[in-house]
Amino acid sequence: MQNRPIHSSKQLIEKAIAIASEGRKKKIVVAAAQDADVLDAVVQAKTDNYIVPILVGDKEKIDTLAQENHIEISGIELIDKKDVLDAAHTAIKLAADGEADAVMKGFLPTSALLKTLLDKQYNLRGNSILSHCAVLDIPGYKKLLNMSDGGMMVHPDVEQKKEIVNNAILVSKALMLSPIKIAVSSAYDKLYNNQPHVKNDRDVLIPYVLEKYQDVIIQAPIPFDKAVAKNEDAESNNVIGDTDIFLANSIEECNIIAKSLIHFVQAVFAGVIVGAKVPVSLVSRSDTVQNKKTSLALAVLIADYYQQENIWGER
Amino acid sequence: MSEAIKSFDELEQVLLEQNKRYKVALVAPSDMTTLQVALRLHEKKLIELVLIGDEELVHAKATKKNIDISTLEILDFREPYKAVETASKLASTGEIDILIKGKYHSVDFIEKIIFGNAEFCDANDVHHVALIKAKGYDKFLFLTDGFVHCQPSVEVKSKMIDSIVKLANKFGIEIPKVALLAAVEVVYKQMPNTVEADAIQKKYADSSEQVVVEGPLSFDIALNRLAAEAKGLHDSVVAGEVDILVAPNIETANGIYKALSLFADSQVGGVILGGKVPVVMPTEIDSEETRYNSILLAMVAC
Repeated sequence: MQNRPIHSSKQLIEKAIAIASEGRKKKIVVAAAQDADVLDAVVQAKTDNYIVPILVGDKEKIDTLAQENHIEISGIELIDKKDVLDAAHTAIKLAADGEADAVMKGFLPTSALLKTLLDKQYNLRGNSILSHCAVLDIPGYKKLLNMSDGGMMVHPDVEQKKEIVNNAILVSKALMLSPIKIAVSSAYDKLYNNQPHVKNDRDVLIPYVLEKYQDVIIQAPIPFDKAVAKNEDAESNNVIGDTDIFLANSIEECNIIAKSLIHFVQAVFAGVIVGAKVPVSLVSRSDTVQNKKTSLALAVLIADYYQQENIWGER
Repeated sequence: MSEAIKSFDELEQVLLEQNKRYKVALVAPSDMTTLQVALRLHEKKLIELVLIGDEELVHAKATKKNIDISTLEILDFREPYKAVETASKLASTGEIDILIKGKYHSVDFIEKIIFGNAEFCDANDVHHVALIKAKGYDKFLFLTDGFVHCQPSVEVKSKMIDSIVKLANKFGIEIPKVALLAAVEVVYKQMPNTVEADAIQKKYADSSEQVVVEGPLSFDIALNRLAAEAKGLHDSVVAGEVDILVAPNIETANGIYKALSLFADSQVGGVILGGKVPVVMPTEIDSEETRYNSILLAMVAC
């Protein structure tokens, strides 16, 4: 199963375990680890033997939470930093120094963590923007669907969409997909009401992506159903019914469609922020154990891809 | 009505009992799936079906599929756009009660029927509403607008709410609960949609309308009381009990409708409201059941 494409959350976790067993187990540093859900997630992934967690945060609170929630954290490295910003800087510095391969958000605002991540002194900036990828395992769909961006850019213009695509492609490559099929969203499969984004997607975004990548197939405008509906005679060069990346037009579209699938279809969901030299994993309270484990496995695959392929050069 | 209608079966029962026959026009009728569905309703005497379009073509296609359309009135128009124009006129003059789109691209259909057709409607009054009964939620969900307005303003969204409240009342929902969907449940000026949701919410809080409007709300909070409690929204009336979902833009509502149609264990239907008559506009993925439900929904909306 060395380089087989990853098409389910189960395969994702298996691959993370395989990477660890080949001697490349990833260290994940948690910034402000005083959060029961996050502690639970990293301990689960540690028990399954695919990460080494490093906890940075308020030791007293972490110990109390672990005890109250019966989470076994003994034997895990813990750096005591009461102040959340201190914790963020310590965690990001570990990543910058190569002591950690990925970062996980704990009990602090996402914006505070990302601001620290982008702090020039750490030299962790990669692509020109950060974006969020929601990788969904939808019962009834044959592949993982990477929906972006439901977390960072409110209403991306075509230049920002280029960068969102660049980031999403990194995730697809970490999942060993080739070709990578991208559907650029619209309500209809042709220009409607002169929506400017449809014209820009067609005239600016698609040529950019096709020129930059050899193994990417991208089409616009594609409504959600066309992207993921069953298509028996899907040709290998068509995104219809065979989409890997669904590029949304707004934060709301991406966030809300993903949540509707999580709520009503029990889709397994892994969230990650991409664009820096290390992936940033996010889990939330409402995530199931399966979601949390999948999120961490995704961060492991991305970190491993960056290192194996030397994507960002020396850190 | 004392008990709210909670399924499409109940909805059909109510319509059968009211014993009224609606005059329905299927425009460009050579879409055999929609034709068959409409015929079923015609045979049940819930509707009186008229076909507007290419007579020769529809006869040929129906014969091939063994569909008997000999009892139907047909207005013969070879050119699809003329069929659409005629249908729009008949709707405007009250000669038909419901319009159904047959084989004609949705984009062209909407642009012809709704935009720049003052006889039929003021486009600002028109919107699509989907009706969704999804497993795991014991009420109907009304969802707007995935098919007409791309980025509806505060004013247009308010009109949508008023229109769906009237429809919900017909389902026996006396004080509908509305969620203005967003990516988050706090107002950020960097996210214009949350600012607009807040403005709409305030407007309804100050009015005497029989409706509860909350927003911005994220999808999980609108649908799940526990998620709302976990985020500290203890005072929410809407969370976990929402009737009406108002999406920020066309792609969001369109995507939810399609995600739930394709992957959830759900029954759905949809109709365009606000014109002279309700318009049913099936999309490619709509099953026969969905098309049937959509016509039922249009009948209630009349």
